[in-house]
Amino acid sequence: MISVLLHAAAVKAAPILWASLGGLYSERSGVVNIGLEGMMLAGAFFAVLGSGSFDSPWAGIFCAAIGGGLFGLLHAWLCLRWKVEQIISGIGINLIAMGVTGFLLLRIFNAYGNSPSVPKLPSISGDFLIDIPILHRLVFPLGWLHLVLIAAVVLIVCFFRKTVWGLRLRATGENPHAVRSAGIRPERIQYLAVTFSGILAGIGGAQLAIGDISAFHIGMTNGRGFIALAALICGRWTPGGVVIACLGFGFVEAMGEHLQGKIFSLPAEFYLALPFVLALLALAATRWSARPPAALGKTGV
Amino acid sequence: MGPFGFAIAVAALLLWGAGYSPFEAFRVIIRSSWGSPAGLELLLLKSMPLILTGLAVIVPMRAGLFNIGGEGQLYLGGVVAAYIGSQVFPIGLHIVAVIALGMCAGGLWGALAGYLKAKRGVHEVIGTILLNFIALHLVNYLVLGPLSTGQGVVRTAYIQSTAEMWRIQVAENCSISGGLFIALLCAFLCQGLLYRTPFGWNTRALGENPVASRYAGIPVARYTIVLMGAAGALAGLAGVLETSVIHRSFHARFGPGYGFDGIAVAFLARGEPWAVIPAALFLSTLRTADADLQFELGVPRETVLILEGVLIVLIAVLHQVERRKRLQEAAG
Repeated sequence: MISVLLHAAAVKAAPILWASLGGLYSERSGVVNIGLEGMMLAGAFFAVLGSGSFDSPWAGIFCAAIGGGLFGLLHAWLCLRWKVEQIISGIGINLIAMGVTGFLLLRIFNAYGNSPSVPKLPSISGDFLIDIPILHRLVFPLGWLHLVLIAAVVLIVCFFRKTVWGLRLRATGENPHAVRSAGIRPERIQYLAVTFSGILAGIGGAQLAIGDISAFHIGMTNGRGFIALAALICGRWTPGGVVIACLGFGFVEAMGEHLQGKIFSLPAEFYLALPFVLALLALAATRWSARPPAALGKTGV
Repeated sequence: MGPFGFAIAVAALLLWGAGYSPFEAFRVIIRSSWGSPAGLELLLLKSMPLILTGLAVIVPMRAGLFNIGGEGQLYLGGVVAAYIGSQVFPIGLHIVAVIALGMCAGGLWGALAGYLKAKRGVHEVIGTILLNFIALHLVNYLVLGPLSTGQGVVRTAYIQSTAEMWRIQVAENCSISGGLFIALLCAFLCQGLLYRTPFGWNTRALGENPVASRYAGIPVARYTIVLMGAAGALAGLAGVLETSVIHRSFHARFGPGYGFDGIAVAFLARGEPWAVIPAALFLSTLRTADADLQFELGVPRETVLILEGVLIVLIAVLHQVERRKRLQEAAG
C-alpha cells in the first residue's frame, strides 16, 4: 500500500520535476521564468502532434523539446534583446501558449478541448521482480521517460557542480559583470540557459501528455508550471533541493487521489487545492532563508 | 489613440498570418458588436468586468506590484455575491450588502497576497497565481457542495430580485446596466486617488523609486497590503457585477478569464486608470464577437488569447524602446 503510494508520488512528481529543472537553468543564469507553465503546455501539445503525425512517441518527445525550446528562446529574446521585464514576458508567453495550443488544436485536429488519442510512450512492467511484490509495486510500471529523467538529474547535478559551463552559468546569475570581465558573454549563456529551460519544460509537458496519458487537453498542465516554480524556490535553486521539493508536491498530489472518498470524507476539491496551499505555505515558511541568485531578474537594466 | 491603432494593426497581422481575411473579420466584429443595439448592449456588459479587472492590475502596478490574481478575486466576489444575493434582505440594503461583501471577499484575497509579500517575502506574482488556483477549487467546492441547489445543476440558487442591479432602457432592445456606471465611477475614482491624493503620490513614488520611498518613510509593508487589498476589491466587484447583472447565480463556468484579460487591458491602458475605459471597450468588442468569428469564419476563440499575449509583450517592448531613446537623449 505504501509502496503503491510512493510509486504514484514519483509518477506525479516527474512532469513537475522536468519543468522545475528547466526553471533551475533559467533562474541560475539570472532570468526569472514565470513562463514555465506555457512552455510545458506547448510541450504537451507538440508531443501529441509529433506522436500522432509520425506515429512514434519518441518523435513526440523531440517535437515537445522543440516546441518548448522555441517558447524558451522567445522568452530569452524578449528579456535579453528587448530588455522586457522578465515577469511580463513570462505572462505574455503563458497567454500565447494557451492561445496557440487551443488555436492549433482546432485547426489541426479539428477538435474542441481534447485531442484524439495518440501513441503513448512505452513503459517497463518489470515482470522479473514480480516475486518481490513490495519492490515491484514501488518501481514498476516504470516509463522509459522516467529512466531518462533519472539520468538527466544525475547529469544536471554533475553539470552544475563539476563542469566549467555549470560554473559560468551560476556565475552569470550571481554577477554577470564579473563574467563579462572574464571574457565570456553573459547574454550568450543566458540565451542557452533559457532556451534549454524551455526544452526541459517542454519534455515535462510530453511526460504529462504522452507519458502519463495519451492525449492533449486544453490547459492540461493545470498550474503544474507554477508548482514547478514554487518547488524551485522551496528547493533553494539547487538540483538536489528541487528533486526533493518536487517529490514532496508529487506525494501530496498522489495522496490526494489516494485518499479521495476513502479515509476522510473531505471533498475532492480539497485535495485538488492541496498542492497549491502547500506551495504557498512552503514559500511563506522558507522564503526568507532561501537566497536567490544575486542577479536574478536584472536583465532589464 | 496610439496603442489602439497599434492593437488593431497587430490583430490584423495575426489574422492575416493565420490565413484569414482581416477585412472579413473586421466586418464580422463590427456587425456583431457595435453594429446592432443588442450587440452594443452585450459589448457594454462585457466591458464592465474588464474595466474593473484592468483597474485591479493598474492600481498596484503603479507601486511596482503585479496583481495576477484578478481571476481568483473575481471568483470569490462572485460567489459571495451569489450567496448574499440569495438571502432575504431589506429592499434598499440588499444590493448594497451584496456589493460591499463581495468586494470584501475579493479584497481579503488580494490583501492576503499583499500580506504574504510584505511579511513573508512571497513574490506577489507567485502568491496571486497560487491563490487563483486555490480560489478556483474553493468556489468549485462551494458550488458543488454547500451552495448547490441540489437539482443536478452546477450552480448556486438564483439571487433575489432585490439583489439585481438596476438598468436603464435606452432603446427597444438595448439597456445599460447600473453596473457600467459603477465601473466607470471606479475608473475615475482610481484616477483621482492616484493623482490627487497623498496616498496616490506615495503609491506612484513607490513604483518610480522604491529605495528613495523607503528612506522617505513611506510604510512599504502597509502600502503593499492595502494596494493589493484594493485591487482585490476591484476584481471582487467585477465578480459581484457578473453575478448581480448577468448570471444571477454563480456557476462553475463563471467567467471566461476576465481576470487575465485585465492584464491585457492594463497594458493597453499603459497604466493610466482613465484609459482602461477605451482599452476595456476594445477587448470587449473582441470578446463579444469571438463566437461569431468562430462560427462564420472559423477563427478559433483562442485567437483573442494569442492577441492579448502578443499585445502585452509588444507594448512592453515599445516601452523599453522609448525609455532607451529618452535615456540616450538625456545623455546627449
